[in-house]
Amino acid sequence: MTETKKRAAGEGRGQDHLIDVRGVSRVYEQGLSKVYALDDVSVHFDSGEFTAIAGPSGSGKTTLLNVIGALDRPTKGDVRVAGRSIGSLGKSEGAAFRLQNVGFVFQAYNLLPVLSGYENAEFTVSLQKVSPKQRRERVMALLDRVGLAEKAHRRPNELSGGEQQRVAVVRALASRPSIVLADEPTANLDHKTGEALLDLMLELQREHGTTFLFSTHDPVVIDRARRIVRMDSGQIAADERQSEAA
Amino acid sequence: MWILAWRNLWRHRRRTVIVGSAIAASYALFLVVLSIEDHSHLVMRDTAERTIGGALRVEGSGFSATRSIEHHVPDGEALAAELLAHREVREARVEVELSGLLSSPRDNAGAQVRGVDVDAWPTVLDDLFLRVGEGTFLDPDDPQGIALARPVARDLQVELGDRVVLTLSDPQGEMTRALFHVGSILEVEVGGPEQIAFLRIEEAQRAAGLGDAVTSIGLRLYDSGERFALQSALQALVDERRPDQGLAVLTWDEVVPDLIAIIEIDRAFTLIMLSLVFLVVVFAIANTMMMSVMERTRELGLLGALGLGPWATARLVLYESVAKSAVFMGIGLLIALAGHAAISRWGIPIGEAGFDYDVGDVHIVEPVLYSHMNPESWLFASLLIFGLTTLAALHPAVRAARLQPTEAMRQWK
Repeated sequence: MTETKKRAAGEGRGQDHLIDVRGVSRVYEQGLSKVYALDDVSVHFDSGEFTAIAGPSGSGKTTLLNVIGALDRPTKGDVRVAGRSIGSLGKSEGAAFRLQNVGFVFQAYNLLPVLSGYENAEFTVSLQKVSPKQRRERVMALLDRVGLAEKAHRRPNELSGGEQQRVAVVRALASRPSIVLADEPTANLDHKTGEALLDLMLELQREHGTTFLFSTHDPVVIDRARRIVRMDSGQIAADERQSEAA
Repeated sequence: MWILAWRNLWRHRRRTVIVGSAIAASYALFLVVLSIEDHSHLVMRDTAERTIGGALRVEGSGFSATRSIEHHVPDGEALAAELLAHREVREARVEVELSGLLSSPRDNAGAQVRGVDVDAWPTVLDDLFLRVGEGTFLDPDDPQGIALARPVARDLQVELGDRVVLTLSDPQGEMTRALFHVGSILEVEVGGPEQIAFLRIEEAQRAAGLGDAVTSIGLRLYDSGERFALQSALQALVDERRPDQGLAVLTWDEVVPDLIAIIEIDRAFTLIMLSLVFLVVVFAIANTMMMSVMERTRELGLLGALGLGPWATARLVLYESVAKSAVFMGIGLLIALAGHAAISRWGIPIGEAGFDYDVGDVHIVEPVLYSHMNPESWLFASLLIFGLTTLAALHPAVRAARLQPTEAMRQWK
């Protein structure tokens, strides 16, 4: 079990779920009308889950991930992560929470172009004040695990899309978060590369016990998820579990 | 963070170089102009010190303000000897300074007449930018000889050996006259006083009815920078030795207060002008930093999403500004050092007359500008410019800190 998981378990003592979304609504005002990106959503995720949040565009997948990642505040309701309410965190507290608990993987990789793959992967770990030696060991081990040790010092523009996304996965995991939120991580990749990346993430999830939540409408991701939360019009339309073999 | 700031700095190399060049050039200009001014001020101070006979002067209270020999120092030679015994005093010069009217059979001329101890003043002429043109300067074998600056001799239409009469007021305010003959004529070099004449001190004392009194004792110190510290010690010494004579120990700054005011006004004006020039650069920096922040909105949002707090984001922007300032101020420093070295060596001629003006009795002329490196000025300018360039990044940094990660990230979608 990782350090982060231990801490999360400790904080969540007395709580049943790692992530508990309770009656959350997120309303955006557009002129005189209100748009419900999330409409009274209640859902929970346990530690170590590999879940796909599926649904058409505008169904509220990304908003749900943003709310869980303390990037956005719910208009109503509460989100608890490891027993801690994160719905009303300030900017600084939210950043500190994400740094310690959440890793992000984005559709467009979102690597910093001026840093090498290694430096990108190391960035969040360096913010955690981990010693340089430990940082290097941790990041290089992960880069090696995703097959990028040889290309660690290349800049993002010298890497393929799949390689950049693998660096992004390493960045998300290097800080040893309890949760990884991946927003359509395969959308910019071809089918084969997407599959390979998903297999890799699944393996890493097993190794590290990290909770993975994907927003996606990619069948490749949905096929590999153990649980599929389907969303429509800001609400949970279905919550399905499927066997590992599926 | 520093690595990220450094790399970000060079993302738009040309833009960074252009703004950096403005920093380097204005910083170098700041330092060079201050150094030239510092040299001018040094000349002014040095001239003032030489003109009044030293960094400190002992005189009858009120003499500097009134120029009346009613305010004098009795038995000046004896007091000078006692003051010279102080370990910080390098030289003590007695002097009788008179304002009088010189007359010849052909014309009259007003002049400052200085009675000097020739033995104690071997460099008096050099100090005042004068040199002997004709005759012998205050020849010991010719006590009645008077030395006239060439312009005075010209006004009086006299030559060597001609008789002149000095008319002046004695300490009691009575008019008195003394007869002399022209013993030497002094050529006035650039910066020298034109309306001046010299007598042997004992002759000046006799002509003015001062007895053994002098109007002032100029004190040259081993370190004139110590004049303020030494002033009170010597005042106490004078008060102890001459308790009832109302003598004052003045620094040259007090003797020529207008000069200090001029120096201060000059410095203030220069700083205002240079600051205005630099303010333009500050706006350019602020504009560039703001552009840089706006262009990287999505990246800064990403950093926020990854866990970089708002103030750490602001710090990143400030680090970029600090790195930029450090690099280009370093280049500016090298340019300023080269400029200072060149101007110190060759100077900048500013015309035949140069700066030529009088402040009280101090006649200041500077036909060539030189540079003097004053560490205080350089440190002040460096801190000021570093502070301003950092300040220029403050607003963009705050803007970066206020970015909402989700809003910024949306641009990526």
